[in-house]
Amino acid sequence: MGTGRITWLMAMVIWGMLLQGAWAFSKPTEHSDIDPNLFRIDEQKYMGVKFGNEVMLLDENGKPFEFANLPNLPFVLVPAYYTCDGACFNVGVALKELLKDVKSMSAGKGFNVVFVSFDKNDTTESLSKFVKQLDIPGDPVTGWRFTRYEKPEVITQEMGKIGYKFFWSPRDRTFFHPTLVMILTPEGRVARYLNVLNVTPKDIELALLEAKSNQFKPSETLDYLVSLCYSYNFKEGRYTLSIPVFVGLGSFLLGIGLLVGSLGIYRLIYHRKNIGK
Amino acid sequence: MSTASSGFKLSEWIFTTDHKRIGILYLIGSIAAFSLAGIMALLIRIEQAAPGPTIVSDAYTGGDQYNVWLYFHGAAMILGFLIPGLTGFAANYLLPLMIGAKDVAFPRINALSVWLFWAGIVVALLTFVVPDKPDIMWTGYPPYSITTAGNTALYVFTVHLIGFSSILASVNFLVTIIYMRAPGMGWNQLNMFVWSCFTALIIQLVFVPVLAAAVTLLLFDRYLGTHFFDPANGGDVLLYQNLFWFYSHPAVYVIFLPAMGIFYEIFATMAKNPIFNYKAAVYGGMCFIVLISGEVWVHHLYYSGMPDWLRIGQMVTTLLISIPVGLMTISLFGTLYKGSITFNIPMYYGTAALYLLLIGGLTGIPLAMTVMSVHLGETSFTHAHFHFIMGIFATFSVFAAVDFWFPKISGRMLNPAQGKLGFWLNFIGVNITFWPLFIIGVEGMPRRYWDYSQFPSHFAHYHKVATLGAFIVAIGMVLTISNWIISAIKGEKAPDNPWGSNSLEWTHTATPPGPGNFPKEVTVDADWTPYNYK
Repeated sequence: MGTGRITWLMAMVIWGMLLQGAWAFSKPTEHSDIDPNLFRIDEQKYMGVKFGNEVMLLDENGKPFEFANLPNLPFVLVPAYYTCDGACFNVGVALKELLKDVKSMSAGKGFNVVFVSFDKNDTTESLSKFVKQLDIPGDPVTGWRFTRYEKPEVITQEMGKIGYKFFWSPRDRTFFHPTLVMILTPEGRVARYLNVLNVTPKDIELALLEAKSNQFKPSETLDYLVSLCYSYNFKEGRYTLSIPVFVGLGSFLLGIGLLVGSLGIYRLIYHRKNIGK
Repeated sequence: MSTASSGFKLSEWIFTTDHKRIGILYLIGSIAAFSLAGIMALLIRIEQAAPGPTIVSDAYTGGDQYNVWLYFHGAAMILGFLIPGLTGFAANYLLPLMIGAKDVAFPRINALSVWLFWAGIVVALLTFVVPDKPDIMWTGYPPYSITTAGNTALYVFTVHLIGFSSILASVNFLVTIIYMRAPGMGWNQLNMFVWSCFTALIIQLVFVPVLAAAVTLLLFDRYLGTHFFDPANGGDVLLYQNLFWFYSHPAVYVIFLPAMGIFYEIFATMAKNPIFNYKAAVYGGMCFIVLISGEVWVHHLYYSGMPDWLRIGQMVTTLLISIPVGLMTISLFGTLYKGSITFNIPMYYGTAALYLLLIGGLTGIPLAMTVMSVHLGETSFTHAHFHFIMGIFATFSVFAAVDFWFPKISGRMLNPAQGKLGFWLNFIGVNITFWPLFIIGVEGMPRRYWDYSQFPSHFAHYHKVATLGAFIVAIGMVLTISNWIISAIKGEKAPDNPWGSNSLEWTHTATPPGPGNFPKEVTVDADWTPYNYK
């Protein structure tokens, strides 16, 4: 092969690469430029909304699953799809790790975790594979439950009720969706949205305490008092110390201190006067 | 005994550390606040006399104007009149005299506290001068108090000044009662009014700092951009309400206890009877109220989120309050039993107070219960309830106190005819004003609405009657207050002890009492009590 031919061939290859690059850059992919704000949920709009009312779900064994049959405890609702090997799995793992550090309650006793698939193509098999990967058996004892909708046509509507949005990307063959979990009251009403990749075990614990606020037993007074010391910061997406509680407590103690202190001061002066007499 | 008048010198009043003069300064300030609050009440009633705009300029800004009247009426009545009238005027003038002390423990602090109170009144009066008038009720709830164009700072500074004044006064009187009683005077020999102030001032000292802290945080949120009560930024809007009522419900007892104390003194003196069940009323009544006063504030927040057991627990403690109040009421009634009762103006107010206590107390029971409170809590039923038990009952106690101790304070007697006419107009007027509000409250008339045209049309008839009642009260108040002023100047000279009381302020002091209170040191023996009439 002559030098001219080699040069011509190389030029063609370079041109080809350039053309391909130019095409790739000039034509953006259909899904890569999704604005993350699309997934943002107007939390205050959906607080208190009831989830899962009268919609049939199927459990790990393909049997009917009803929220009403869960123990009367708050629960963590995790929208996911079981063929997801990215975000959904990471959310599951992160949640598992976070919940290990929640000391005041445990899954199955103090709360439940319920995964709900928003993928109409999920099956009992895909569910089982996901559960196996996550390494947590789905049953009432562990408090971790994995479900999917019996009727796929209701999925978008049901997820929409709580403001949860997701999109299927045909090119990437994946769903785009937020990594949010919802903390629901025992009656199934939305009490809090949390991004599990951005919170601490304390945040989860406080959200669960908050979700059961109307179901406290007197024996849980300490937990309740702890929860009163924090308030949820919508801007940061986590709980922060509620300074007015401490200011109020401090000022109350100041009042008692003034009472005791003024008596003490007068007694000192009174005694000094008496000694001087 | 009498003290020669040395003439009026303004500087002597400004720089005075005499508890009696300080008491009178409190009285003047609190009556000024009361008068302005009364004018606001009349404006409120005129506005409500008919649905739609009546005296507000138009439907668009009507709510703003109305809210300013509500703000000033509430703040001035509670912070400017009732609390300073009872724990400022009455406690200052009477406590040292009743326990045989020459003055209070810290006279200069006492002077500071009255001028702080006056400064608070002046700041409150700025409401009528500034263009952005406060419009946040006396409660100042966020988020409205943070987002309103009204001047939240005036409200906060008024609370600061009057609150600080209250704290200083509490410290002073508690120390005075504990350490400066006449030699030989035991705790069970104290006047009921002294006990009532002692218990009320403990509540005041312990709880006022909480209110001061809450409104300070409110100020920061409003003007410095903090977010203590802004839920969108990690704050908690309900927390303000908790902190506010943590002080403000006990504040009801700061008013109620001295008011009861005044009526005890009047009843015992006018019936010439000892206090019925003294120890039960003091320890089971007053002291028990101190213990549980901080455990009942949540009944103001029944509608907000809380565990059911807490709601029910607070309902129980709220209802529990009726036990000590009941003990005190029985004691008050019992003091009249088989007494040789003299019916004069203070006794008129005292008798009316028994009725007010009954109506105000009984209507409080449904409001303490969660199921009823949800329906009645935000209606004019509540409005009428707290006016009976707190507004009118306590106002009548201040009037009764002034009438009862008027001869001692001024050295002159009141005009009885004018006083009685004033009383009857006041008494009839308040009933005409507030009974219609009970009735339409049960039917759903909301509180705080300036326009009620969307509600049943017959509400307007009741509102008209209530407005008529308010004007009758206004005439009664003018007659009562003018009687004090005219009688103080040219009333008949008073004897030293016109009611034949056994209490030290009547038996051991000149009329009016001079500097140092007592011509010689007072000592009492073990058998002495201020109520030893048998």
